[in-house]
Amino acid sequence: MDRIEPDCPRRGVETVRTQNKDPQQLDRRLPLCVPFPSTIAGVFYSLAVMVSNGAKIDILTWDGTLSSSDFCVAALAFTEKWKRFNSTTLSQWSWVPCPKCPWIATHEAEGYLSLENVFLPRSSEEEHDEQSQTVHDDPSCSGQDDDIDNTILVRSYDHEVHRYDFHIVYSSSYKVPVLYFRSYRSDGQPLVLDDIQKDLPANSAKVLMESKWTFITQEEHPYLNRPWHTLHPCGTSEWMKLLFITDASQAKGGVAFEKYLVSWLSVVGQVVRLRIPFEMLNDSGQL
Amino acid sequence: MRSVKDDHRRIRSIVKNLATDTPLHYPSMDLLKLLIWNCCCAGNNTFKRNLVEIIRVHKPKILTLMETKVAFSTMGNFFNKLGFIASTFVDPIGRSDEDYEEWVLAVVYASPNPFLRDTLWDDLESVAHNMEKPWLVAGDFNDYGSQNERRSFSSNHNSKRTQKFLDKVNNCNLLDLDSTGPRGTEAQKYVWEGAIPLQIHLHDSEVTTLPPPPPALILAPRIGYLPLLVPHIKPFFSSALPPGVDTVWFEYRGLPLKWYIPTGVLFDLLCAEPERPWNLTVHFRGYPANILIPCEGEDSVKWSFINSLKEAAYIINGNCKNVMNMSQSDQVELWHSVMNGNLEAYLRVSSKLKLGIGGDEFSAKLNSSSLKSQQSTVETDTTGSVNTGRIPVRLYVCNVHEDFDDLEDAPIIDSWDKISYINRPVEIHGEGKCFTLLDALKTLLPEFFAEKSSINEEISKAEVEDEQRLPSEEGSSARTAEEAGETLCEQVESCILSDNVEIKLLRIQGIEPKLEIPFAWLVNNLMNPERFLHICVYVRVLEPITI
Repeated sequence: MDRIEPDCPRRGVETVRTQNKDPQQLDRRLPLCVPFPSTIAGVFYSLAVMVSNGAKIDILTWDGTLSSSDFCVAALAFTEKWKRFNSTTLSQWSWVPCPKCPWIATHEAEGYLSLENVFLPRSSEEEHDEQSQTVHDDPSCSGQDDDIDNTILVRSYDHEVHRYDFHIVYSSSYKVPVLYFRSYRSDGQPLVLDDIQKDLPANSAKVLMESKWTFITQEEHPYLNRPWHTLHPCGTSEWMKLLFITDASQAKGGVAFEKYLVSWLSVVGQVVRLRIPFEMLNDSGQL
Repeated sequence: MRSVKDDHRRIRSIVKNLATDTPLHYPSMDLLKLLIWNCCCAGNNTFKRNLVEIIRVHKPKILTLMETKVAFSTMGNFFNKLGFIASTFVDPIGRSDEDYEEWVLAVVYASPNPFLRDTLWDDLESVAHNMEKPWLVAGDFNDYGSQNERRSFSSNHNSKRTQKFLDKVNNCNLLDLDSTGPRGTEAQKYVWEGAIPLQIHLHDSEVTTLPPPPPALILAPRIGYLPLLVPHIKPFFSSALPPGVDTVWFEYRGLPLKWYIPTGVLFDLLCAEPERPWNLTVHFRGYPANILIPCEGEDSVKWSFINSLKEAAYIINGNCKNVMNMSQSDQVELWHSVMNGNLEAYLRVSSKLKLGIGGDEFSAKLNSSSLKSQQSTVETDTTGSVNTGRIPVRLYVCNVHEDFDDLEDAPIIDSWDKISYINRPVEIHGEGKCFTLLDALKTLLPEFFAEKSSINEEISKAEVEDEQRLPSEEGSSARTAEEAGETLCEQVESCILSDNVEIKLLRIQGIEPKLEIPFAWLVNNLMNPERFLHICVYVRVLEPITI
């Protein structure tokens, strides 16, 4: 897992460049975030730090958090990996560079991960999936891969399908990634939380009913200045530590920061029915 | 019964005013400082250091320590060195320039055992009957006179026990002087009492009557939130509204106001030149849900406040357990104290959250020393102890393109996109020197302080270092990350505000502090009740820097 390919930084920068060339990604959706040439330098800088870090966690003293540069490292590794395991699907995670003060150069790689235009089926369509979800954590049941892949494929249903945008944003306060999302009807109308609740798995909908103010709420997107739905991050560091402690006992030794986001999304994604392929989870042991 | 209570209240208020009128034959107790401390583990070096510091700062005349678990003989020398007579009996010493009256001090350390406590009270009662001089009974009674005096989380509240205690105090002809919780600083009081006069107009599109309703005038607390005003202003406009369901929102010069930002911060941010009264427009229809988070009245505001408090607690302590574990009644009391602007109640409840921010020797000295100018300058220089910590800060940066000399000519902010909102804790790393507001700005906005050439150098330097480190990357991740951070900080430390950037205005709670002011003082005195310091900055960037 500590084998980091020497060409990794270069590849990472290429990812950013291709995004810049893609006008659809940036111009239409993110009028605030004009990509500056300096941000590329910023990303390059943080990647250089990543290589020197070796990006490993000492599990005994670790508190379950990430630094912002660790997050960038983890994010780029995550997009690469997602691409490797989801090459057939249309939705790809991408890093959106987004400086806080766009009118002045920054040497910190600021931005967030974005997965947009995901079509999630309504919960009634997915009764059979509900069972598989309970054993989702168990890596041994890998027979359902195809099923899970389908959730991020563009499919059309007889009745209405909702489109979701997911962003993973780093929180400096909690020092962990935070999931932001929003959704629309097919006609572009945004969904309110009551509608979203019907899309959620039964468990999430129940928690949402019980704790209206502390589970999924609308907050300002830290980069886009607009209300998005978000999952509250205050417990993240604790359960991430738990997740990695059990993992480390199998893996003997340190864990790579690159693995953080895969593990994190395997938990957080379940709340909103966003699934990740089992191969990604299995593979994360030997990145 | 009632008359006794009234008497007590009257006398209590007299005692409290002793500093100004002293016709009573009570000694002016505020001139005589007593320190009675139920401490634990006295005798170790930490305790001794703390005690020396407390005595240096507060200069008590009488010092009583209880539950020391230390043999008296071993501490005698220590007390002598502090200038106290280590003795259980002290001759009464009067003030030479005044008539003095002998009075008695009884220090009590009541047993946690209720039966032994009863015995103690019986003894006290018999002493009280024979007492002819004024006497003060002080100490740890292992009881409390009212719910407000409690600082612990345990919820077993026993009003019978409280009543019993009060009765016994009464039987001894004693007067409960009350325990007052932490008092706010003067600056805190200004912040909490601060209010902005608002003149609120109903938006034209919602006026259905002729003539249109006159604007509502209302004082909005700085630390409050706009939706909390709705119950007060609704009566002014309700008759003029078109039929429909209320979704209230406010607007200033076309900009919908974010309700979860404290009113004072909105005012500081959007009115470069303070406009009084501040003319806002209220809408009861047509909520701009694409810009503003939906608001369901007080509940939404309360939870937004609590979630912010949780975030601040996480920043300060690394977890938010204390906020999560708050009892329902404390939660209600805390929220009411914010809604009603009751600083003392707020301090009482919030002290349980243990969210103290260290590193503010400056204000400790301001409060304690008698502010002789010489003395204070000497002392501020010596604020040199090592302090580290994370401070919750919300920073709003407004970029202005045109220069302006007069704040009146500052550009109007008509879109939230013109404001960069930075929610990033400030790490205090004051080593050997006082951490100032300028230092905080450097960590929040390093871009403003780095110059074009030095950024390039920094990157190439980092690259060189990284190449060197590549072979030996194993296991040293944390440290290298830290080092990388340090080199960055050092680099920032050494440079001044970039030539291309001009800070036109920096405002916190309506004042424009100097950049040299100790940051910890600002935080402790000017933070909002959710424990965030909100800083509004107007900057002018002469030309965008490109690398």
